[in-house]
Amino acid sequence: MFGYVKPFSPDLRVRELEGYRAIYCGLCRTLKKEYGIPASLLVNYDMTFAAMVLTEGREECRFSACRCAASPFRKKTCAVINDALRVAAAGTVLTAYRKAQDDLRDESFRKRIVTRLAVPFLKRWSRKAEKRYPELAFETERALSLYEKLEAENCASVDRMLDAVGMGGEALASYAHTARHERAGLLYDAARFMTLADALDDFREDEKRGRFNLLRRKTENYDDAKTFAAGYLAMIAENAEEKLAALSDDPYLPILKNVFSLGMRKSLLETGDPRKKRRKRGYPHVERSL
Amino acid sequence: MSKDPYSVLGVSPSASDEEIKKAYRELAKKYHPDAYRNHPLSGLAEEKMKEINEAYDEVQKLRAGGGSSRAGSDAYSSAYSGRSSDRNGIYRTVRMYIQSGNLGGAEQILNGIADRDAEWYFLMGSILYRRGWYDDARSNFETAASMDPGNAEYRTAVERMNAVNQNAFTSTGAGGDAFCNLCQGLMCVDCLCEACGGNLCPCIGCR
Repeated sequence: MFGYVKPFSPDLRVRELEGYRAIYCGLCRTLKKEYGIPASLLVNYDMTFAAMVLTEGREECRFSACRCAASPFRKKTCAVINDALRVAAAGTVLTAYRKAQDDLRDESFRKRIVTRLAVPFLKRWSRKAEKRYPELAFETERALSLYEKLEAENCASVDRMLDAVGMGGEALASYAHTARHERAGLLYDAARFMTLADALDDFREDEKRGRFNLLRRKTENYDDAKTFAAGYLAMIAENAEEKLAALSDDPYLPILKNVFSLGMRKSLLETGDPRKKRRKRGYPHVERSL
Repeated sequence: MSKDPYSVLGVSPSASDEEIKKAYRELAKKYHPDAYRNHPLSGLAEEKMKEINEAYDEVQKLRAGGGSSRAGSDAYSSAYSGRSSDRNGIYRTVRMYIQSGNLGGAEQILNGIADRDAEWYFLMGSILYRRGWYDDARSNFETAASMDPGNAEYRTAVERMNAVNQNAFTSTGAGGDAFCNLCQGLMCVDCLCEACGGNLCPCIGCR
């Protein structure tokens, strides 16, 4: 949805990066097969991460070579569709529809036009996903409406609000068979981080428009907000190791470790000034100034 | 709602959060209205679903500690409030619960205690920390440490949180530091070498 949860690719091995790209392609392909070609535009890093977390054991992950509209000539390695990818695809359309509804409510006029055009499609896809994964749809809706409720109530605890979103992420793990608790924990943390990073990204714009922003609960100053988010992320990263240890049999474990130790931090450093977004390169642990 | 939310979900009040969630999911699956579409039982299923949702909300509210007034915590508060000799026993139970992962149970007991001392804030902080609510955990730890500045355990908790926070800004290894260490090492070795008449890194003047 937002693309904050992704690995820091220079620190991946070549085969790990290829595996990551393959699962990204796999998610895109799953969306195309299950919801139609336009749905594959919804493919994103966050749900790719979810698909990785949900992939269980080595036998679950098989690859094939395939072409697609984005790469019509060169065949790309692509993950074969499995349960993890199906769940992640359902999560993608459900969250996309939900986000579109939010955007219609409080985005600028220009953005609303595009969203308005997409909504009928999104609605149809999310109905389809709802039928296939009623529990997931239910939990997502429940989590996000709780978040809205807390927002309306002016909830003072940032933790409680992040928890509401986290529960939505957690719901994805209810389809896992092994280490469900740990997978749920990782998805919970990823969803919370995503919300935090998104709030930081929108901090200045929300201030300008007088919209609600989660981090405003802590501070009025952008730099302080960034410090807070970085500290929170450090906590998440530190406590993720325990959960990751339970997934020792998973093929994507090194990538998941990378996401928590480096990738998220890099995303957080990149937030803020959109002009600098592309220019900032380099290792996140070398960059000292936040 | 008149029924006990725990009995609606079919779990005991001491069940862990995980168990409650599981029980809730299973019931929700069983009574989900989608499964009863055009079915004579659809009305009943809907009613049941509503009941389950309410019970789950209630339990969540109880466990999140938003000023609960229900039977369980009432019993705790009336039985335990006040006397400090009891207090230590209760805190020991809470610690045991936390260690065994029953965070909901531990929180329920704590919520039943009316007058809150440093230990209360510390234990509440520990529960929140385990749950991943780092911001609230920190403020609880800080309250505990400020109420009882002499206690090493509370201070350590705050310091540990600060240390992790610091990590967010300084490097966690590798990168520039490694090179810095290398240069420092070379300088030291060179000094030692020169002291004994040798020369590891000859400078221009030495050549």
